[in-house]
Amino acid sequence: MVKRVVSDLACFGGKALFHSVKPIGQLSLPNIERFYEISLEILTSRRFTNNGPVVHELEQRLCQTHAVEHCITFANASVAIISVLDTLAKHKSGEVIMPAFTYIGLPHLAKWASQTPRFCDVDPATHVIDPERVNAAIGESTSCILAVHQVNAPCNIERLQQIAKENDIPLVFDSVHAIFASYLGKPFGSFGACEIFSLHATKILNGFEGGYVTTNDSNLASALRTKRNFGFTDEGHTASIGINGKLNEVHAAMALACLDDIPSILDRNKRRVAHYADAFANIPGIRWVAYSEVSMMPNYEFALLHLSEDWPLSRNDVVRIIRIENALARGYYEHTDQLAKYFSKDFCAHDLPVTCRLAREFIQMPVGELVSNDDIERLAELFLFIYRNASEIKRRLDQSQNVN
Amino acid sequence: MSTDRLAILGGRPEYSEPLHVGQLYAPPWDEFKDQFDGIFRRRYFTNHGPLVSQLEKDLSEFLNCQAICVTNGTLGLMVALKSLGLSGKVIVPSFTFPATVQALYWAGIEPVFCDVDYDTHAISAEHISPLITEEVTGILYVSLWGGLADTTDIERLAENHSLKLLHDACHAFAASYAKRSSAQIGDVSVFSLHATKILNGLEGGIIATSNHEVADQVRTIRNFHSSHTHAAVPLRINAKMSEAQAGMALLSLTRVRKNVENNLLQWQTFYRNLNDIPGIKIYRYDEQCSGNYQYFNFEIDDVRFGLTRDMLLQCLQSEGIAARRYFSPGVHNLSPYDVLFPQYANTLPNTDKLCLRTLQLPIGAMCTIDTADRISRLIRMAHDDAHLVKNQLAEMP
Repeated sequence: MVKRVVSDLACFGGKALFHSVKPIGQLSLPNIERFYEISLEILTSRRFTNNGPVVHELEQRLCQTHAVEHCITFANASVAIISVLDTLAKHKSGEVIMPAFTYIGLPHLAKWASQTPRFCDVDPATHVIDPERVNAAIGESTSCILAVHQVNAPCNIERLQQIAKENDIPLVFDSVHAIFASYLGKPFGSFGACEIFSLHATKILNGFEGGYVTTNDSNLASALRTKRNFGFTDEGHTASIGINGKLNEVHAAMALACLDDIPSILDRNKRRVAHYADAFANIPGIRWVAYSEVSMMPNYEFALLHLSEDWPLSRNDVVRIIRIENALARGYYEHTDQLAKYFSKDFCAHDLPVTCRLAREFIQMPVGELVSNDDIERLAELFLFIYRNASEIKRRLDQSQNVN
Repeated sequence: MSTDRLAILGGRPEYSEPLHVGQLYAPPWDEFKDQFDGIFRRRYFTNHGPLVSQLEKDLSEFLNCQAICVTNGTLGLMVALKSLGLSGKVIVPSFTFPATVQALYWAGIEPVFCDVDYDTHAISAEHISPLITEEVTGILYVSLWGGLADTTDIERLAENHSLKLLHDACHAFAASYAKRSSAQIGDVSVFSLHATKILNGLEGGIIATSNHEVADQVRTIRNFHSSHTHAAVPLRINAKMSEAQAGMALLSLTRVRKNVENNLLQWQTFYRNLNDIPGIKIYRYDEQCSGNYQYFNFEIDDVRFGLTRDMLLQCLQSEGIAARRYFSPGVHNLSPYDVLFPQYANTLPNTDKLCLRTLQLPIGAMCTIDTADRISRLIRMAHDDAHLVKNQLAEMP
């Protein structure tokens, strides 16, 4: 409902702006006919999992899409990353160099693979890991560099590759947010020792849950295939300590049935991001994180909003207000301080000034198939309303906090 | 059409398409389609959606404790180990699927391999006791073949030594002992919903516990969602079950009782046909156990049967019957455990013997009473023609 007075805001008892929630994930539907066609075959053959024909077909299709030799699917990207880090560390404990301005789970995954996360700060403009800090962080126990591409910008691939080569340390890219984007005309998927992608429903390619690794290294590919299936090389023989990392056939069918729609998803994403910029153009103090379009062809997965320092309400207040309106925005990578809780020995906010600043700055706005142009316009109206009524909103927020 | 001659001796193979060990029960197509139509209508694909909630509710009632769904049984064990705060060393059988022991590795725990009781195929208090040291923080007990043994001694032992007891119940959904459900053994039980199990969620796992604090830990560890950060946990992971998996499992859950009955009919057919063959010892549940009969497991004494287990397996494979040697070899003899822990070589006599002698036959959706009759007949023929088979195998490259 349109807000006329401050008490119309849902946080003050008004009716929510959106009847149904506006999420921050892609949540695309498959080609339903194709999904059922594959699923019927799965049910008829009763081949539900264990690296069956649908997984095989998906892996082949993804090899083509990413222009890479090997694709190894996993139950999810967490298990893929754990498997990669463990394989590259050769069962020895060590340190993984990674950014902290990223997915909150990343350092946990290193821990599962007996590795200690070693955080490096990021570039203030592009938000990707700073190669010179990576270089400085390398030591005796470094097992791997885990660099993360941001949705808006790629890592400094050349410099990282150079550093990795000079120090003879494997370089892995978490390319979850670079899926189906390309760098200097080359699709992501064949950089570094390997790249990791996600098939989670909120990502651009929806496989319910799932993940995959792409690589041109056939030894690594074969080690990962073995590892995801309990380390079995054949019945009665294992080559390594494995895990159940298998993607099941129905999840693979979903991803396959979504794959053909990718070009139009990317197109819709680009339009959505452009529409946000247009719709919010007349609101003071707002800018959008720009997509680096020089070296990269982006996937336009996120709309990342930045409030100027003099904006009348804080980022966190704005997020809280609009979430209650059913726009499930959130502070973009806002959890950096939470990392301290888990990795206190290794984490020092002092070492990551850029990360800690960025973690307070951006709002990840609702995107994906459930967000229409009309929704974006209504969000713009809401922001303008919040901006104009900021002092009263703030007063009432303070009041309610005092009551609590 | 059954032939009068084993395929290995030149006859026509009994099955042209391989018959696999595994339950592989599937819902009817229209129910599957309805379930997925609902998922697509809601556009709720994962992240603890309505079907996962429903499944957890139904499973909690079925198991009479809190049931938390995860990606698969292995991740279930990893999450459960962390939820119990286990570290150092944990006592575990070697006679198990490798994932049981591998889960310890991922949780940063060293295995202490324990021999099994020859009759129950499970670790017993007698075997566990001498292995308890200062560094041991828990026991990872494994129930095999869809049944459940008497665990009271082990539970007492764990309690007396303040050890956590984690139950790998991946085989044991819908099993009970003396009317006590397999979910109520120890601090936590973990079940598998792999398609080859009685409850089919494509892949999947259940972490079951009656302890609310542990349940809170599990719910927090299995995802990175900020709304689930109420419990202070050592480590987290994405171990979420999807709506697709939960949708399948819900359809499967309504058929569990019926499918157990179907398994039992096939199991009984095998039992009737094979029990009197010399050198065959069939694994049976204890009288007080109600099992799910998802495996027909038997042991071959090569001297009396006339062929070794591996020779019989070759015979069956040439007939298109993909019988399985769970578990051969034991995990302590698998790479890299054999190198990491060489001290266990030849110290687990029951495990080593079972690994050489046991075999599983197909039971489940792909099979019927007729299948069981036909397979039994081939096994009897292999016994009758043992010397011919032996000679034939000796000539094979």
